[in-house]
Amino acid sequence: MQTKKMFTSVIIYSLVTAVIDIAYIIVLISQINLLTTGNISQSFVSLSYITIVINACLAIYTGIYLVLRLKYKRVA
Amino acid sequence: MINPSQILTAVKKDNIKVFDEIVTADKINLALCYGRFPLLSLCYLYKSHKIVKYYQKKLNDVSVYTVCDEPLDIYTKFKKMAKRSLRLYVFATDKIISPPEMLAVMGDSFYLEKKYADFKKSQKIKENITKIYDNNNISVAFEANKISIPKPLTFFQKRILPVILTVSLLLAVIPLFVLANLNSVYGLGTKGSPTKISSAEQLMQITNQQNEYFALTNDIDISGNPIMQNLSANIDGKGHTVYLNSSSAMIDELQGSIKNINFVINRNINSQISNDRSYVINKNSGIIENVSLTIAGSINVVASKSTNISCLVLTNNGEINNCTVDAKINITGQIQADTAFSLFANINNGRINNCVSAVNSYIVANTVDIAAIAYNNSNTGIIDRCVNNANIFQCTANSTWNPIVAGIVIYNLGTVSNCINKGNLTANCTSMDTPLTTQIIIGGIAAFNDKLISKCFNSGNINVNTTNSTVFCGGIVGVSGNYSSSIIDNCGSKGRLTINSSITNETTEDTTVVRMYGGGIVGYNVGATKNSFSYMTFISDNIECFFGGIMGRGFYVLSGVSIMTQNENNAFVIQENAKISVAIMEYSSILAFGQNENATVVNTLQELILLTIYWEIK
Repeated sequence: MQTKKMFTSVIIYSLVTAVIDIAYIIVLISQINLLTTGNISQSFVSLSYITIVINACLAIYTGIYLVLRLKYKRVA
Repeated sequence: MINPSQILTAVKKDNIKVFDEIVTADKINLALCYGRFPLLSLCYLYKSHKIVKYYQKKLNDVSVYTVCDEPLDIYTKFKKMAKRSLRLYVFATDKIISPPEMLAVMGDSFYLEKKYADFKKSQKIKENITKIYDNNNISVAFEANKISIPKPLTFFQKRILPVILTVSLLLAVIPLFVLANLNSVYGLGTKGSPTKISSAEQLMQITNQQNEYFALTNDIDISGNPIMQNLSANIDGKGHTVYLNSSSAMIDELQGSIKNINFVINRNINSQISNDRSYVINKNSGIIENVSLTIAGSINVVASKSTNISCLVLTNNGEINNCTVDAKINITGQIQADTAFSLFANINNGRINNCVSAVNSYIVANTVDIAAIAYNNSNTGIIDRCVNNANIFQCTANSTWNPIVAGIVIYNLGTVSNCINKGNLTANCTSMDTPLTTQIIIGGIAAFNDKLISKCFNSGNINVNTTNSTVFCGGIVGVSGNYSSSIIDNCGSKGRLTINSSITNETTEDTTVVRMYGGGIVGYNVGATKNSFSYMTFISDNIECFFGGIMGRGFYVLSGVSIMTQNENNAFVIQENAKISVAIMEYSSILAFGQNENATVVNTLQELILLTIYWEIK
């Protein structure tokens, strides 16, 4: 059964992800003219990679947290 | 009067009026217990909010129940709610389902927590509540007169949770999606994902872009575009062709790298050249790798000063690796000043590795000195594993011109190793007015050697036709002129060395008249020649021409510290007109017939093959 704590962790994950990705989208829009001509700056590529890594880490951390919590509940 | 059925109906319908009438008539009805279900528990089960609101306290205060029959529909409804908790009330001795237990079974944790203090509690009730929540993986805690229950999600929360998760995951995928699309459409400008170049405009804009790595996606014609200035990017041609014009080099200075590109001079060139230049890169400080150049046409040098021309790179300070030049060139020089022409680099200060001039290539020139790989290999230059297949002709009617031709490099001040010349090298001086001071220098590998040439091989033919010039021709080197630094080591030569001349002087040891020298390895040797072999054949129509199995002319100084040509562990196949290793020896400017200087003389190639110094090109 989903509990408030698990729900809260998902909400926090979503908020952090939203903040990071909306910031990324803002940068993406500011670069759109360069990107559509194929002139892709390396800093933008690096930012994209960093965002992907942070997103992946957040998702993995939250996923592991939820799984462990559910598992802990079952054992208890 | 006890009226179970009416009470039950009122509870099911949450009819407070009827319920009120019945219990007002006889309060004992409040103590009714339908089998295992006290009236308050039934009110919870049927969600009789109005009855609960007004009668909860009274119903809760009942301490002794009046048990009546348990209708089946109550049990059926309870069974649906209880699920795994049903067992607690089937086999237990105390089978009463108390109101707090009923709330626990119904999952109304909020109300249970709120009203827990009001309920009558026993240890059994606490245990049952704990087990009911345990069945749902929820741990409850009891403190004094309170119960603490972790809250399950509300219906809204349960509905919103997958939406939030989906939105979050979609947001998280955006950077991945953007990168994947940029990668597939444009490339990311990284080494693993170079920016894709498909047009001449994009290619010419490379110097303005921030990216470091580019790749061509198709053939590109930039013959109508101006020269690119400094290029620090890395371009991978992916095997595509770039068509160039002949009016200027494509790149002024390369600091990055270029690889896997086929350059083609679009039309047959007809260049008027007045300055030093190349056709692809003027200065290379980076890396050129797996590049081929196809160039054909006529070059006319109109400069009145010394002019250096190279097809691929003018000055190489970096690396040129695994490149090929297919050249079919006719070049005309100016007699007022020297002109130097080469296919890969005019001046090599870096490395040229594994470069090959294509089979069927040729260079035809008049007053232009020519080498296939480089004109000048400086003291930092290294030329390794290069092969010349181009036939080189230098034919001049000018009486004052000194023709210089080499298969690999004209001037070697650095290191040349593992190189092969397979092209035929020819110098013709047709003027009958040629003065005695003019010289023809030809070497299969180098015309002049001041440093090290090792493990090189010549299999091309060398041909000289002259009227009056001095001639120094060698299978490997024309003139190896520095006593302390010139070294020819572990080299081999075959092919035919032909010198034809109209000189008619008597055979003599006078240096003023003996001017034609041919050597299997070196024409005129002052430095060291060792561990080398030759099975060249020598042909001349003039008895004034001297051929040595290893060298045409050696060198020995008697005055001061005695120095002599170092001639160690060489071997050659004896020829009719080359029976000794050194044809002429120079003793302090006096010439004398030479002898075998530490050389092994064999009669046949088979005998030569048996010697340890012999090796074959693969």
